[in-house]
Amino acid sequence: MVDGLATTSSSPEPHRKSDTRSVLKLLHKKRWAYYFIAPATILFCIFTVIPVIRSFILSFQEFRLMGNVWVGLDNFKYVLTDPVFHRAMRNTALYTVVMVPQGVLKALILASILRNLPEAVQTFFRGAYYLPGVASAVVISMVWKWIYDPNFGLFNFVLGKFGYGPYTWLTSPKTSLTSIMLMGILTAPGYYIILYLAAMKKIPRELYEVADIDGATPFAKWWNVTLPLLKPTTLYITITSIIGSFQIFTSAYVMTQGGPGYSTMTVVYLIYNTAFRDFEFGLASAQAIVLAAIIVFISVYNFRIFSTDVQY
Amino acid sequence: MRRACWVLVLVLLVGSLAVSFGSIGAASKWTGTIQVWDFPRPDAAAEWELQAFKEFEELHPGVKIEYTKLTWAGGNEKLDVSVAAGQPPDICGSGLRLPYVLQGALEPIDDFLTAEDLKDFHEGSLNAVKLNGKYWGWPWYNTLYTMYLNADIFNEREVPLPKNGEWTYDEFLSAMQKLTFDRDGDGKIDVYGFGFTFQPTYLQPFGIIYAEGGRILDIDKNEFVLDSPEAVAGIQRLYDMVWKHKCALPNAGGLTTTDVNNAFLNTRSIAAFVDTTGIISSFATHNKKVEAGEIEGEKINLVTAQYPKGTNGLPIAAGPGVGSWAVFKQKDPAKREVVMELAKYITRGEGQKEVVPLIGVFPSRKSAGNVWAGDKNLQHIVPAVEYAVYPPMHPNWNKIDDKIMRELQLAVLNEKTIDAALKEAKRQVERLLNY
Repeated sequence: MVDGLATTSSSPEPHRKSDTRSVLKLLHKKRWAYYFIAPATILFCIFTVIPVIRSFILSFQEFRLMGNVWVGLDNFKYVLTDPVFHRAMRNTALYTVVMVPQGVLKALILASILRNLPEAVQTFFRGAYYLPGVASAVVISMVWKWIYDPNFGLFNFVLGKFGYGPYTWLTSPKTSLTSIMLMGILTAPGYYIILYLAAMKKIPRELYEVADIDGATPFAKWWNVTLPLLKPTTLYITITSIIGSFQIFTSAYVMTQGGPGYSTMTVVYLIYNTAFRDFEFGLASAQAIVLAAIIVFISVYNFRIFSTDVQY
Repeated sequence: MRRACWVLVLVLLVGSLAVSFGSIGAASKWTGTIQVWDFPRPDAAAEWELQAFKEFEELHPGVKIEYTKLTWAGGNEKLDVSVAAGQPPDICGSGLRLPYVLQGALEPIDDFLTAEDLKDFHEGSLNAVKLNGKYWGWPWYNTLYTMYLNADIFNEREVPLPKNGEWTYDEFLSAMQKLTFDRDGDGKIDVYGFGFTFQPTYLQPFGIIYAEGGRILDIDKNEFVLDSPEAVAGIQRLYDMVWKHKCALPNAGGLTTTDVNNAFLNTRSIAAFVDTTGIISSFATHNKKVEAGEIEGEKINLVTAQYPKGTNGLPIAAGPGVGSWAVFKQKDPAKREVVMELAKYITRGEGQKEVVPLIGVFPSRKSAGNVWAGDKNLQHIVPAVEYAVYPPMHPNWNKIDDKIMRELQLAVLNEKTIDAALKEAKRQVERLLNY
């Protein structure tokens, strides 16, 4: 009876107790799931969450070896008025604007072509396109640096045979960023091709059969069936490649060191210099936070635009 | 009178005994462990260091030295972390860094520098460890740049090598022009006389700017002086070598030091370039490997020379810096004294005479003498050591260097006039001068 009264009582205390109990019960019931995800979660917290929080705090401080000093918004004020940061942001944005659409389009077109090939040929090309992605970005950048060499590079050698050049590629501020972009344009986006191929395989065959009955041309089927149903994959690829493009570092570091002048200075390369050359970790954190905020804003905006009719 | 003489002798004897006992007492009044860190040195130099530590322990009974070898890859970070954690070593080789000075982590050495020391150290070596009127490290060796010449290309073009490694700017320019040529007759230049670049942290071409008295900063006045007529004349010479005389590798402003090294050693498309003396051994290794058939290519017939002299006829030398021993803050004055003694012992002239050739650099003390006498490559550089110019000791030097180099890149690429580039550099640097 007493028990019954207690359970029907309207006072909040017993409710809280029963809530806690049910949560604990649930935790106990699913404990093995938590045990299994615990190592990954702990590592994620130690190596990602805590450093991100630490970096956020550091962005309001001036890093000093004998103890950091709180400087409020000074680092952010400096970042937002620094002409070098503006230039780096402009270069990075231009790189993103060019590289993302062409990368997505290239992956989509190549995957669409590959999809209609026999399975063995598809496997070959999947491997061929994906393999360069496994190679170190540093090695690839070094190879391209040789290709662009104004005196002994492959490009100038070949163009010279046809009476063109020599061109300065990486060594002129007018062409250096374009040359870095060209390197990306001429490289197949292997990972994205595989994502598109996987997504295309999941499209029900019946939809194409219906289109066939309606007398649709191959292009009409691609445009009206394939493309709309690839929207979730396109959204994913667009967002991840925007993030990747905003974080461009290796090619600027290996091939041009941000020069000549500031013509290939990118935001992440600037952050690297600020942190590891100038030891201004507070300022570097502020630069990183600003970059992260821009990436988050663009990603959310993209989600809003593209995900209106995307079902997950 | 005789008695008075005896009294005087007695007083002198007792006095000298007291002084000597006093000094022994001072040297041995602190006992304990000194933590010594240093970056990796060539094997023979590292052995020399260990021997020096042993000798110091023997001279100071009760003092023990604990040696830690840092790595080039993570040594700086380890040092930073130790300082940040308040647990730095007592003394560190190549440990003098501007943030440590500014943040009070280092001991100034002024009180331990005798008048003899001040006279013995090369002026440039001392200036390289001086900030805000105080000295913050015991200079150990000077790292200098030298001009490397490919003697085979000089012979091929019948251009005489500079006598004793010395030449005027006109002689240098004339040689570089003759060394620029089309080898295969296809109408394109295959070999350029000189190769250089303006890359942040690499001051190789600055010897030519320093020749007429040009400097980057006036550290005493805390002013940007790279726009002085003397400095501009030097920059103009470099610009003219690319654009007017066309005897320097084109696109100089867009190249990296690796590109220039590659043009000298691998593609042999330049006859001369500048780098630190320390890389001589890598050329010797290259030749040995070619000889042993381990790598393809040709041996390089190497000769070194000074930078071309200025109109005052004095030799010119430039360097990336001075290797020194920095003493970290000590709470115990007695220990501080012993640690300073250790630094002084490692960097003494006699010691430098032995160890400096093992590292491939130059002594910071005049008393070490000419350690490269008879060396066909480095003996030419010795007379210039006294005139060596090092990067200015400014807390924002890394940033200042970056701003200047990027503007000079644009100037030698003909994207901006020298005047416009220097004006922009000055504008940016002036923001960084006050710290």
